[in-house]
Amino acid sequence: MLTLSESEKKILSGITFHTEEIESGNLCDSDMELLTEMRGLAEYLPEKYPSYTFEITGCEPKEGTIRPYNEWYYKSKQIDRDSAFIATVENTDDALEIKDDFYGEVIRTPIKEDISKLLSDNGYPVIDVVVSFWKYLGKDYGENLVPKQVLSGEIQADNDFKIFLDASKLNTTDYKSVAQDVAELFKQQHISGEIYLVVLRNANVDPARGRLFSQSISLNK
Amino acid sequence: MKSNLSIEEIVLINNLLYCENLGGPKGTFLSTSQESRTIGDFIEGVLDNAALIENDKEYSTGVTGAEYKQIMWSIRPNEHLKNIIILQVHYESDGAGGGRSAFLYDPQFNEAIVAFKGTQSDAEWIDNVAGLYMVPTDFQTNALNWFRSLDFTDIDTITVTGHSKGGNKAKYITIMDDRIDSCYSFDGQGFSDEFVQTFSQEIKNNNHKIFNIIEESDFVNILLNDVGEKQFYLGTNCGRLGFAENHCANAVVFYDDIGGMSVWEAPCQDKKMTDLDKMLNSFIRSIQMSSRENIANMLGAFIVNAKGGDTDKLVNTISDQRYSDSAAQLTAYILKYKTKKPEMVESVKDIMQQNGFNTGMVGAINFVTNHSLLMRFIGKRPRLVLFILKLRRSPETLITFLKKHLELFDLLVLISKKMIRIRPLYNTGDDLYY
Repeated sequence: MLTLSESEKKILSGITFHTEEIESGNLCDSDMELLTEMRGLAEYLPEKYPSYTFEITGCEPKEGTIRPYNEWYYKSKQIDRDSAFIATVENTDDALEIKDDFYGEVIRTPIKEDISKLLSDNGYPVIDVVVSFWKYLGKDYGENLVPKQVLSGEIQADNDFKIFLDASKLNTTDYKSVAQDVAELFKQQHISGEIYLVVLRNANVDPARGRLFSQSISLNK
Repeated sequence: MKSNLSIEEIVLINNLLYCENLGGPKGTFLSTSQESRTIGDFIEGVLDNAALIENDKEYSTGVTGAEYKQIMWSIRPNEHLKNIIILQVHYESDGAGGGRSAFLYDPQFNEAIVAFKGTQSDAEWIDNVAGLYMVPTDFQTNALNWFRSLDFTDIDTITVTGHSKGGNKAKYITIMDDRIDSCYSFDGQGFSDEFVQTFSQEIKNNNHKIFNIIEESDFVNILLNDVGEKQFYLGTNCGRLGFAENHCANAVVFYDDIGGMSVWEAPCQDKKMTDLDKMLNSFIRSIQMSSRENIANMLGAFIVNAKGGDTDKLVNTISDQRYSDSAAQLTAYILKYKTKKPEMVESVKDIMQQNGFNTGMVGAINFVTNHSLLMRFIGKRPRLVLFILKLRRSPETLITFLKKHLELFDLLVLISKKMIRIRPLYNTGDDLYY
């Protein structure tokens, strides 16, 4: 018989039908695997990000899907965000391969500042820059991740830069060429990833309703 | 104000919610990195990587890469849909089974669209069947909480939609929040009698806003009581997954020669589903609320295994100690129901056969009905039963099946005993009036 914490019981009860066995700690093999993964993830996250505390909140198991991995949902006390973070856990040859999306929180602010400064220094009227990453990264990329290595693509996180510009302060309405120029500027700085340029009527409008133009450009082509 | 989206557009949005890793991580629609992009940006991004999408590979249950490409191409000429902006992607942080959803904005009509994905994994059935004994379920509450956190200032129209469990969430928040103008539930399940009784006033206030889009042979929408208007649509019946494919979000999508997409209204629901719907309602009403959780767990486990078409797994499930009492209760109910409504059992058999199950199992169902007295007395001695069956020249398929699954005999005895006490049709199978 195993002793499960209340949060472990809650999560397992939400993803398997075996309520009584979970309550008593008499887990079947498939539930045991899930518990092992959950506990593995609970160790992995604070080891990788020692300045943060985490709570695993749920899981969307792979059974019934075409995914080879389980998706675990978690949140951090230090990050005020309504949406959960996601970690993928794949059980291969009795070893857990865990990847997560939390590294983005560690490097987002410095990268955002670098990008905003680069654009402003080159005369672009920046309203906002939103930085995100498409990939999940494993245990080697924790709190010590160097933003510049991610920016350059040396560490491949598939960077995504959403850049919101103020049309009232741009000296052209040829927004396509503005997008090309911004992409060229990024390439010169050896920044990899994709930019998504959005031109808004002015800095005070709603980013959805005040949109004049938007375009995606890959920096890797 | 009614939504400015067509039914086709609603169906396409619900299909997009399931896009995952089409040609790489950018091919996941419900990713927070898609926020601020338009649906058109997503489509173009995926089609840029079309060469990396494998045509024959399933990218979500029942939907291949080739089918997803068809969906993308059909959206390409639709400027209205392409200009819709993905404002927010939400990963549920409080429900154990997760859940993803999107907050979209249509700039042409100043319309907010909140769309809920049906979680795909087997775990979704835990919350699906929790609707039998919980009012409301955790997933419904989480969906409402997230919806209420969204900013709808100066929006002209609020529309909610979702497929499967997502459809149920969409209906739930429409019932609970008067601000919603339109709800399109796509193959979403209904609500328990207790829910309908508890929230009858809220349902009366808002059910006229709810429109159910239902594939004619879908098996999820039949769970519990429907709320709102229903329209059935023809299914494409691709057949790869058997009956389970009727629940895929692209099961109602037809294409013309140039890739244009349409849906076609069906005259009515597949009769098998109508029969099953009434039987299930009637059965659930025969179970006291205090016993419903066990029944719900058995039903969930049964459906999860039935979807896979694996006879051995299904037999293991119903003979499993955890579920056998509930499984016996359900089977006994079906068999007694047969005496009043024989066509229902034929429907169950049809569905099982279409899903690829061993017909010996169907024979076993008939056997118990015809020999329940014999089973009560000698069912604990499988060898003797098999000997008698041979003497009576019973079908070889049935004998082989029972020989292979001796573990079923305990269950068959239990079913025979329970059959005595069941009064079929005591409870109506019609949806509850609100």
